Amino acid sequence: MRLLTHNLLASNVKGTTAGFPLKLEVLVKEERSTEFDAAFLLHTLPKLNWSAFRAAAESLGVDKLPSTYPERDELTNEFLRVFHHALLEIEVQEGYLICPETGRRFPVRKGIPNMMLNEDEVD
Amino acid sequence: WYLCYFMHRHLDFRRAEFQALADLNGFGDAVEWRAPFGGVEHSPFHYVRLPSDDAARAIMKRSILTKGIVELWGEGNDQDELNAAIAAFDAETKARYTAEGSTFKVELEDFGKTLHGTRDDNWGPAVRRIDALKPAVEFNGRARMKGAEHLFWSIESAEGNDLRGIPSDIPSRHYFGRVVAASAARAAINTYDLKKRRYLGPTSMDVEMSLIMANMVHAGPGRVVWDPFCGTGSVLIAAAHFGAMTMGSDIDVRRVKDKRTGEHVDVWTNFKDYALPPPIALLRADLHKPPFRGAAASGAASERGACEGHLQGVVGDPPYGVRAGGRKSGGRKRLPDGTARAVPEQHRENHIPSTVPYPFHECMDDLMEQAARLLSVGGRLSFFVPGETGPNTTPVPSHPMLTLRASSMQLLSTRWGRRLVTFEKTKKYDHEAAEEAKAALTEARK
Repeated sequence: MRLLTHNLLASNVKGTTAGFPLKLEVLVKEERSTEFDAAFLLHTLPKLNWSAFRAAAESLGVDKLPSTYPERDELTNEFLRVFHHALLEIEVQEGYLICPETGRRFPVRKGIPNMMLNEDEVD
Repeated sequence: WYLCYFMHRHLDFRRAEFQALADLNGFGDAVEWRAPFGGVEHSPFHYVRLPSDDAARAIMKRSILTKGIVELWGEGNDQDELNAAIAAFDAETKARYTAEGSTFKVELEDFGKTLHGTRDDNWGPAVRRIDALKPAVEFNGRARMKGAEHLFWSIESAEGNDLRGIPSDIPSRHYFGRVVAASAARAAINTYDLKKRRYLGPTSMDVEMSLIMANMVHAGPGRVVWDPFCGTGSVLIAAAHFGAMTMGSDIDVRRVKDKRTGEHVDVWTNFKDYALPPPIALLRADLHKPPFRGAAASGAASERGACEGHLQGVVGDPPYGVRAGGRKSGGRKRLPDGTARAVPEQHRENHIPSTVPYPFHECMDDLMEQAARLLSVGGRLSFFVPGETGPNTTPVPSHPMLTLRASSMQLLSTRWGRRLVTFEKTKKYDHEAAEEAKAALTEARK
């Protein structure tokens, strides 16, 4: 699971209101380079929940991202490289995603988050 | 006008795919069709108006169901009529492509019959065909079998032959013209041959149809395509082939052991085997309980549509039927008071949640709703709906943010088929409008 995916996911357990952002508990992570596509990055950036993204990136050891949503003049090539790395190149292989409201732990196995709900968690 | 020579396959998908590719390349509004000779709709010989040769090339780069686009120099019911037509065709154009010093090749692309030239009679039929054209067109260039600059097709269709079970009532006709672009994309059907794929399931989508589906949703570079019923990832592989970033989910994502090597195979290994960039996400998730930010029914209004624009394509084959009926989250066993039984804490980690049947119309509504929320405006949704053949028998679903762009029936038997419906998101997501439409739909179904 990459941070792009993490930014989309929310807990849907019965009774949650937002279920976002999910806390990350990482057991195994991998880094692999992916193709750099500046147009894609610039198009994705405004759709992200920045504070959730930044917090998740920091928990994975990327600390060079600005603390607030980057201004126009901050969109340098250097920024995009760091952004690209955090968004797409770090993969959580094993770990958990934890619902901020209920504490429900969604396992991540072989890079695949299991977001399926149990019988008593759906209405 | 060009002659558009289609494959004689998936007849109802051919113009839809062509139009989708024209839309993708920005000249969709300029495309015009004229009925084939004899007025037979399923004829492979249609006439199409395109803005330029480049437009034709752009289509052929990706089209799976078009054999080639030809600048028609002439056509007729017999050789004399054909030659008369070619003689009357613009002399300057003819001279440009048959000039001295150029190289050319004439291919026989007959429909409904095959002519095999053999070395023994010096490739007789082909040579005789070219000789027959000579009164009308003078080839001053040199013939070259490989790498010729200009390619020509001499096409003859024969009436009355049965082609792979599709009876042909296509009238006899002779065509001749310059090939502007011929199919290059069909090679991918071989590349991704299911027989050679290591991880497969009983309902894996066939390669040709997967590629067509990827074309229908404009899968391509810089675009993210999601298959919510990804299974073994067939459709995602086709989308990745065209350069899209892919995202797959399913309520059951499996890994199985390869019988020959004993290795574990799964969607990841399929992508690796083809050297395609792996999906940007694979999830175990239920479309009925979408785990996306802003999707919670009880969520704040400001959060709704929060992930809007992350996707440019949603594509898939929803589960239906006997072999792979749909399932969604839910408890089978209930306590006497009707609530679900709680899963004991120590078992939660490895608990396999039970599922209940997922009625097809509900699944379709969920799919339309999620596509309407997650796609960017201009993004596309394409999926199969089962139904009876014949006109207007399959109810086509609707959603206020989505506009129907194509609907193509694939025959599975004389009575049953499945229809690939394609929508474009034409409006920004509006929760109130979506809720209103849903309520009206529920009312109408009662």
